[in-house]
This record gives sequence, C-alpha cells and structure tokens, in this order.
Amino acid sequence: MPALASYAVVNDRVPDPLPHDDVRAEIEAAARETAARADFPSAYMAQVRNEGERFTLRTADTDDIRAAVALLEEQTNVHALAPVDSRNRGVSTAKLVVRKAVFFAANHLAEQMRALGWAAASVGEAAAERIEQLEARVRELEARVASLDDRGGPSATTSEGSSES
Amino acid sequence: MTEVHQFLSTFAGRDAIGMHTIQLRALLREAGFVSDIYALDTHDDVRHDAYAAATFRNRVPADRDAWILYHFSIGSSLLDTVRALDVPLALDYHNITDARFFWRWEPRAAARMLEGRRQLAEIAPSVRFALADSPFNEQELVELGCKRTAVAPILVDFAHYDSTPDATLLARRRRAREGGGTDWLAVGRIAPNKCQHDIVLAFAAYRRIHDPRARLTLIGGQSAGEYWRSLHRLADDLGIADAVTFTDVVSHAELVACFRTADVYLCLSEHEGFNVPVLEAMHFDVPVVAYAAAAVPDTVGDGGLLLTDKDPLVVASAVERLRSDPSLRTRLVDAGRRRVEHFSIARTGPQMIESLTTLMKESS
Repeated sequence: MPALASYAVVNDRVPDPLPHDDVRAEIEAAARETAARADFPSAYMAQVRNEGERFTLRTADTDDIRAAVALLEEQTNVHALAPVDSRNRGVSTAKLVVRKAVFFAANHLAEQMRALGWAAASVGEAAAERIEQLEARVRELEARVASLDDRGGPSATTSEGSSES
Repeated sequence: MTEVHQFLSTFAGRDAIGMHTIQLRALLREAGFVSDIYALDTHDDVRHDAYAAATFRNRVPADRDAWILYHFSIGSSLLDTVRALDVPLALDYHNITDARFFWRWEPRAAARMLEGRRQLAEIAPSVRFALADSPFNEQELVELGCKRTAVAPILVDFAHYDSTPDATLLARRRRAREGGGTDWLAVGRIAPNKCQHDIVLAFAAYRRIHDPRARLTLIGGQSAGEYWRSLHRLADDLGIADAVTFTDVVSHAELVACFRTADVYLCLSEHEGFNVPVLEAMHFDVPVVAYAAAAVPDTVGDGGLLLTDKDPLVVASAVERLRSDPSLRTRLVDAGRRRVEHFSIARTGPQMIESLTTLMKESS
C-alpha cells in the first residue's frame, strides 16, 4: 500500500493536462487552410490587414523616421465631417445642423490642412532619404576605418593611401 | 508596534491596484501591523479609505517604527515627497507601460511613463526591497539593480465577483444571445499597449469567415482619446460597428453581467505587468484566448490558450476552435479554474505577508 504522501502527489497532479503546443499548431494550421479555401474573402482580409497597418505605424520605434513620415501622410486625410454621435438624440440632431451650416468653411480649412500635411510629408520623405544616405555613408566609412585598424594602425593607413593613389 | 503604510499616486477603489491596496491593508492589520493608505489623488468611492499623503508626518511622527510600501506604476511627484520623509522605503512594483505605445497617440501620457521609468531607475538600487506582481516585473527590478526582490501576485478576492449582476443589462444581453452568435469580451483600459485594435481586426475576420452573428464587447475607459476614436473608425470602416459595443467604464454589477454572458475572453495586449481581467474571465468559466507577451504568460499560465501569433486569421481560428470543440472548451475552463485557485487570496495573501515580513527583517 503506498504511503499517504504518494497519494498526495498523485492527487496534486493536473488531471489530463492540455497539450497547448499541439492545440496552437492545429489552430495555426486551420488558419492556413482557411486562407487557402476557394471562398476565402481575400479582398476583405486585405482591407483588415491594411487597416491594421495604420495602428502599427503608431507603435513603431520612436526613431523610425519612415514610420513617422508614413504616419504623417496617413494623418493628412483630414475629415471635414465631424462626428455627430450622441447618447441624446436631440444633441445629435443639433450637431448635424451645425455641421451642415459650417461645412463650407470646415471643408475649406480641411483642404488647406491636407495640402499642408502633404507638403510636410514630402519634407519628411526628403529628410529621411538624405538621412539614410548619410547613415549608409557613415557605415561605409566606419567599415573602412575598422579595416585599416585591423591592418595595423597608422602605417597601414599610409599603405592604404598609397594603394589608392 | 511596527507600522507599514502604503502610498500610491492615484487611489481608485475599482482598479486592480486600488483593490490590491485595500486587501493588503486588511492583511497587514490582521498580521498585527498598524497600516493605513496615503494617496496624492483619491477617487470619491474610496475617499474614506485613504489619507492625503501630505498629512503623513502629522499622523506618524518620526520616532515610530514605520515602513512605507510605495505602489509604483507611473511617474509621480509623490515619490519625491516619500523619499524626503526619511522612512525605510520598499516598492510594490506593478510595472510602467512602455512609452513607445503612447508616443504617437498621447505624448503627455508617454512623458509620464518615461518619467516613471527615470524615477524607477534612480530609486531601484537604493530601496530596502521590492515586491513584484509577476516574474516579468521582478526581472525589470533586478536589471535596474534592486538588491532584494520577491514575486507577490496582486491580491484579488474572487468572492467579490460572486455578486448580483445588473439585471437590466443581463436580460438585454441574454435576449441578444437568443438570436445566436458568439459573444467576445475584452476588459481593460482602452489603450494602445492593450491593442484592442487587434481584437477588432480578429473579430472582423471571425464575423466574415466563421460567424456573421458574433458580437464584441470592449469594456474600459479611454486613456488615449485619439486611440479611442481610431478604434471606433476602425469598426466603422470594417463594417462591423453594429456588432461592436464600447461600454466605457461600467459598474461592478454591469461587469458581472458581461462576464456571465460571454463565450470567449480576448487579451491581445503587448504590455502588461500582471492583468487581472484574464483571471476574472477564468473565474466566470469564460475560456481565455491571449497573446503571449510581457507578463501575460505569467498570469495565464496553462489556464488559457496562449497564442504566439496574433494575426487576425489565427485569432479567429482560435475562437472558432473553442466554439466547435466542446471538449477543448471544457478542459480549458477547468484549467482556468485551477489557475484562479492558484491566485486565490487564500494562497496569495499569506505569501504576500510572508514575503513582506521576511524582506523587512532582512533589510532592517
């Protein structure tokens, strides 16, 4: 007869533990099979992923200049139509009336803001391009300096210089 | 008699840290300590539970044998005030959201997070000891040079959830369920790090591919206005606005009604220090589908389905698998119950007091 402690160990065991890794693999396989189906809504899923990208831009690393420019471009889509939702139907109607009344002015401002946004984005694009070129050049120079160091310091620099001339 | 007083920047009775603080005060008093709560900003619901931080020295003179346990979750001027009191200081670290998630949505909030990180890095090596909600949080403290640490999970009294649900909301949600459709639920501040947008994207995929009558309820107040508006626009643009409910902040009775009428709980967050709502879902026998990031795996353990990929199609497939496989669902619910038991206050309470008293002795 087993000791009492042995019973305790047996009773403490998790009954029928779930094979999490297997279930996860099956789920991922099911997702792939769904995507391969003839009736898979490809266009809608492309829209879903595209919408998701807008959010990814906002949580990119803070020094990711390309993401910053893409976000700026995204934000140039200024809407002249303010939301009119309200829990109170009367307030919602009032907002709608005001929106219609000032639409011509709001739209005029929105057009200019869009233009300003695109101009700012083009500046960002140009700056990103130049920065990336400079970064590439710095990396290239660093590699050359490292290679010269490996060859033995100042005398190697002279040798490198003469071979180039 | 030794005194252990808790300090926190904002004290709200219904958030996880607020409830934890109240539970801990009760445990400390039971263990024989004099213990009160001091805060910089106290919400109305717990106004009678806390003293203003500025009154501490009037209530606790310098000759008393007192400790301060500072709840750390955001940058605050309160920490400077506490340090100036010259009382042995310990931390209860609940993590600080990575500012990266907020920079491009709510820069002011991001600045507070960065300030919190700066304060933590400055103080971690000099505090007497620090408690952490999870191994994930503890690792951060160790990396910052904190010499004595222990994991002590956030205190949750699950009996608190066995209360009467809001009858009107419960009836309304039950009527909606009569028409069929899976009920998805997510609870937590609507915040970029919690990635509710990934839940909306997965839900859109699920509705289109598996269950066109499915509904999604997102419970939680907003912490970044632009993110909140973008989520609404996302639901609109994907044509699912009618199926997605943003409740904002709800009462406890409404929260219970939502859990009681949910089929699946989703957590696709990328930054959590603990995450109480996944345990709440398990308590209500709602199976959990979560993304394995930050401290989420520490909390979920084997009590939920942890995904390593949160592509909308994968998340949708996970929910569909739970819907179509009752055996898996049952096993997951059972695993969730065991996980809740693991974090029951009957276990975590004594662990917390033991960790505290041991560390206090070692640090005196």
